[in-house]
Amino acid sequence: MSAAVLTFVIVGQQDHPIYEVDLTGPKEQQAQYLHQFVLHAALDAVDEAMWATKELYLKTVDRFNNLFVSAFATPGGARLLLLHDGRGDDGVRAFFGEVYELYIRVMLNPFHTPSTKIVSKTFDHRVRMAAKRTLG
Amino acid sequence: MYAGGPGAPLPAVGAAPAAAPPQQQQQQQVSSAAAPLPPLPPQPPAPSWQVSATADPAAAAPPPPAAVGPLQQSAPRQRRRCAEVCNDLLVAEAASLFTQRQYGPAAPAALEAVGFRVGRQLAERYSRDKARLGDTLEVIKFVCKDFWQAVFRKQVDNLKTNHRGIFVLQDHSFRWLLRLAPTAPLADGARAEAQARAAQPYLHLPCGIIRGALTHLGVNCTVEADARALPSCSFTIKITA
Repeated sequence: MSAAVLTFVIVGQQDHPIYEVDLTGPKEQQAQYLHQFVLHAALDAVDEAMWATKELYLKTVDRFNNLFVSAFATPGGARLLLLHDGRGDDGVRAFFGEVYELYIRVMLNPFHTPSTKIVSKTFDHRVRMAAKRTLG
Repeated sequence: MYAGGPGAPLPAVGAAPAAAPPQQQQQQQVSSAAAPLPPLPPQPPAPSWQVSATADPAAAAPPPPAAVGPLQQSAPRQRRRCAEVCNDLLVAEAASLFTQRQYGPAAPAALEAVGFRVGRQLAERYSRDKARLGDTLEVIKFVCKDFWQAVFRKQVDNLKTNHRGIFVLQDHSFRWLLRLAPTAPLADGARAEAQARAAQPYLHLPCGIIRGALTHLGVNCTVEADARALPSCSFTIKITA
């Protein structure tokens, strides 16, 4: 199985990351700073895609070498960004759907401020499970 | 006394699920204890109970009283409903609580802040699977239709704008103030003013909710309410920035 480069970031309304997870397997060591840089740079491309369409799921918005960035824009202004190496569209879409649901639940929590980091361990665990299920 | 097969979990919670359809999913030992309860509606026969009854004579003993768990736990999950009057009472109580407080921010600001937060979360939830909203007018229309329907149980009746950043949403029978309204609109100006003043504390929360929803969807604004002609209520939205 090829090295699966997967980093997932949720960017809040003020363009700051409120959640970040590294979904690669335990044996692979990747340069995290590269992922963050690529994802941050992809925000412009996400904005362009958002202006172009009203869809929530934005498919692949940017490429860097062999890495792809897929995005999902919520109506509330948060963006879910996934850095991967060419995963199937269906899997990515399913993953975004599940994480969006989890994200809404976190946002509905009255003890959570919308613009702060999501530190819930349950959320983290569920995102990882969803990633395993949908992205392999 | 809890008569059950080996490994049966402790009282009510474990016993109740045994009764209805998801019985097959439950462990066989669990169903034995609840099956003999007489007041439960007719249920599919519990084969495991028969088995354990013969195996364990103590199972024929009177059913444990605590095991009359609510049947809803076992039935397919139904949507829970809450009486609308609870909402009215909660709003009234919140208004009076914040008004009586001697410390902390003044009641209007506090209630608006609470409403703001609630509005943000409700907007997130109710805009769930809809397409993203483009400009201000679309956001306002979303608030008037879907959001209002979900929060206030009806849609806004009248939307006016001056195309320069001011929108007036008019709701001809605002549900939250329905109990406060007289049977016929007051013709007398002074009494209408007094009525509007009386309704003011109860309007901070809805204003905050509307403002929170709009801000979450990208429209920074201020919201004011006008309750001069109850039960009709109008909200003026002024777009800032």
